[in-house]
Amino acid sequence: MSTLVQEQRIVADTGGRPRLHPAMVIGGLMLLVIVGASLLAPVLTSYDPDGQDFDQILLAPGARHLFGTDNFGRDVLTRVLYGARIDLRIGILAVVFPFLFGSLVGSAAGYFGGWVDTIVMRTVDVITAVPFLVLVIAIVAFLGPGEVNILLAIGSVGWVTYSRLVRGEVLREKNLEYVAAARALGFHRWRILLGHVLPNAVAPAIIFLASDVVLVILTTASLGFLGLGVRPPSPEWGMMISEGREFLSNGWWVATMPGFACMYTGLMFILLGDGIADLLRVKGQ
Amino acid sequence: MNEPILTVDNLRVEIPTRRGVVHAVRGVSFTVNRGETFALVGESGSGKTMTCRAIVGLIHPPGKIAGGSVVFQGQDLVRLPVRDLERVRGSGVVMVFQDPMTALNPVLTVEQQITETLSRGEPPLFQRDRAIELLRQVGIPDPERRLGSYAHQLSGGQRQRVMLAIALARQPALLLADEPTTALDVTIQAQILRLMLTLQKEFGMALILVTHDLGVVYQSVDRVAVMYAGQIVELAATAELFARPRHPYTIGLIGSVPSADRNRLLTPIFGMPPDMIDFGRGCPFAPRCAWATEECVDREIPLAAVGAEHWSRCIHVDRLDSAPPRPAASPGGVSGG
Repeated sequence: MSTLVQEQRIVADTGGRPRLHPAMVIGGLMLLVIVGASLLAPVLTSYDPDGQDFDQILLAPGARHLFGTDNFGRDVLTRVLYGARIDLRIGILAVVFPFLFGSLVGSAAGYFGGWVDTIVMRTVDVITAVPFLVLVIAIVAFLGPGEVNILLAIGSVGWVTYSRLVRGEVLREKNLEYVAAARALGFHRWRILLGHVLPNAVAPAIIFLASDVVLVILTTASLGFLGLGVRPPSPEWGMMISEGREFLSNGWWVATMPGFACMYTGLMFILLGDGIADLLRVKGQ
Repeated sequence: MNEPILTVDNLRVEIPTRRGVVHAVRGVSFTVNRGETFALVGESGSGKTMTCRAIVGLIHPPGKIAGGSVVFQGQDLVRLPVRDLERVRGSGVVMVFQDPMTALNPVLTVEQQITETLSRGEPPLFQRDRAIELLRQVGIPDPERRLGSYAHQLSGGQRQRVMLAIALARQPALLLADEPTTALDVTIQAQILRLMLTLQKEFGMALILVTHDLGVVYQSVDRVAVMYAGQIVELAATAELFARPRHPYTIGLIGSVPSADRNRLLTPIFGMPPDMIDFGRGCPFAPRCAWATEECVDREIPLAAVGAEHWSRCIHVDRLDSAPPRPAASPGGVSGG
């Protein structure tokens, strides 16, 4: 009898708490692996990412060079691992700032309406009217290549999606009774917006965040491929793919291995995004 | 004792729509005394919720307060700057909403929502204790465990109790309750209502109860204002109102309440409430009224004293004790007006 009661209580408890989605666990492990490997790169390989060795040019993957070597005799695995630092850093920074800015601006537009909404949404319309990659390439071409400029370019274009997503949610949320209740308690409007409405409205933006990281990493790789990315000899994946393109016939691994790294990272963030979406759905109900 | 805490004078609320301006509240005036229980009664759309929301300045745009004043402790809330109004809302007047399902924030815990209402600057541990104490006062079992709960983990009755705890956190002088039990199970309704009345005595608050449930009013309220079509049609002490209703609409409302000890048929009020955009000048209830005469539709009927502390918006007060001269509008029939 008492064990039965005990059991019921346990079931009731976990029912209330969000459970971890398997995709989240796999994605998390993958993130752990790649972040760990890139941080531990100096320990994991004895090679220098920029160290050239002209006796070891275009060696196929083997025991000494797991991912082979490129046309300068540099170890591809080492470069992929060091490159993860650059691509992950750009990928994450280039979504976090647009996410924060876009959410804030979008929620203010949705909540206050009127001229705030008009200014924000017309700006968003103008930016959305130009294709994403074209605009980013134009801005980078104008500012010049380099990591900071890539962040600036992607950031100044990327916030519009977040502001749209959050604005839509805020429009729905702001008419719900709990907002009126918060106002009836005399809370300041910014406090209601940031403390009450935004946490309810931000879920779709967070879900988009994960897939946006993938998009940004691919954009960074594309910029690298076009020669507008991080400056050589930095081991950025896109640039490595671009450089390896010339050796596809006699050294396929030079371009393919960083390509796999891009795929791995993309898959990882998509899994994480699915998991987060699931988690937020549980909480929202 | 009879010190007014809230004086509403000639309050008008208008909502512009595509079809024209909806006159949701049309010149409502009443006072609520310190520690008193006051009820606004009427059917859906009679303007009782709008009156309530107007008092705390929570009319959804494009609706707006078109005139009148709401004087609370010497300050006119209608003309108060937003900043001061926010202060009054937090500590002076608090409103509890109809549907506890949506009135709690779904992503904040019970503890976060209660402590946010408490004055800042208190140490967190103290705030936590206060939250537990408040939850205990509103009858939440095992309050320590409930602090970490989200709204979706609570039952309807518990949510309304949490709403009350939040409302009481700053010890307001006036609590507005907009049909606080309508969304709850019948068995829970009485509990919540009793709880509210107990807490009202305990905290020495005045309470404005918005309801369409006359049974609730009869048991627990000091004075009643009956609303119809955005106006108060009758205002009296509860016992007086039930013993000597002086408006046909009130008579109709009382007649439509089921009663266990009397073996009689319910008398419905036939017809529909009027269009809130196009009013004639006369009594809005006239088309549904059994006592209506031509005079009722011709001129505006003022709220007139018909007894001690008893007002009615009817010109046939003296004839109401006799049987109606003609049957009220028939069920399907359209009665001219």
